[in-house]
Amino acid sequence: MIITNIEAVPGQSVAEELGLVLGSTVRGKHVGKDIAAFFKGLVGGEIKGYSDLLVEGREEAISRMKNHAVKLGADAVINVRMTTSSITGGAAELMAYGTAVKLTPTENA
Amino acid sequence: MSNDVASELDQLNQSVNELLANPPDWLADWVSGSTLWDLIVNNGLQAVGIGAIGWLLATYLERRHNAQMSAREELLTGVRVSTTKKTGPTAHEGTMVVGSVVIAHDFFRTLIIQLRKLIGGNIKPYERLVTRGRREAFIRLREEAALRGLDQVINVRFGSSHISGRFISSVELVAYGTGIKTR
Repeated sequence: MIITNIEAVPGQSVAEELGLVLGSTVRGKHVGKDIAAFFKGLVGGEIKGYSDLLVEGREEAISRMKNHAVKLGADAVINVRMTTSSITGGAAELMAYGTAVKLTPTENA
Repeated sequence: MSNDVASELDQLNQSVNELLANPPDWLADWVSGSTLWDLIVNNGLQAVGIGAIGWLLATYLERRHNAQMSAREELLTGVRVSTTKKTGPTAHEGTMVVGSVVIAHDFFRTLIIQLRKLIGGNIKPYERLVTRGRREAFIRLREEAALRGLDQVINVRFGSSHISGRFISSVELVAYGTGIKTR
């Protein structure tokens, strides 16, 4: 499964559009990470626990989007957009959405 | 009128000090032998002290982070970046790459920002924070592209959002784009 955020896949051309696919997740970290974040807040800087949370969440959202695309029989998801929003204290929603397509090799590539 | 208020406050202060002089057992270890004023001064100094140390450390860490980022950026000159969607004729492989970071202020500066927001205008500390975070996210994006052997990242988008943790609120900066091979 190829993921891009442009309207094409380099080296191949789009044969058929299969429609919008979407994946989202709401994730939180255990309270220990929140306490660690509180102490990191004494000096500021990067909050590793929350960075990890969002990286994991984004991977989860993209893999759910891929599953959706696989069900439609797609080869690639193009023009992907991502959003993040804070739902409640210590939890974030990650969403990824794009267009599932079937591919054919470009003749003169 | 103001005399009445002053005398009432005085009475309140006296009654609190009496309570502190004869505290219940569970509180005795904390407050015995101190007046209300002592408590305010001692604990206030502790809080300000911790805040000030945090502030100094934060300033030092910010400088070090900026220096580190400058060094990392010099290694990434091989990855070209654009916000257009043009792939060019030699592009033959592509995948999405993401870089993100969650970053926050120290508490002392948060307090200063709260005061600064009363006046409004440019909030310099926050500008510095998001600029630093976005630079870090952008570097991570290019590092991921370089790691995968991609030499150009096109259609780069930036995003930022507020992450409210259970005890601390922070900002997330994200950069994503399509990495392609042109060679």
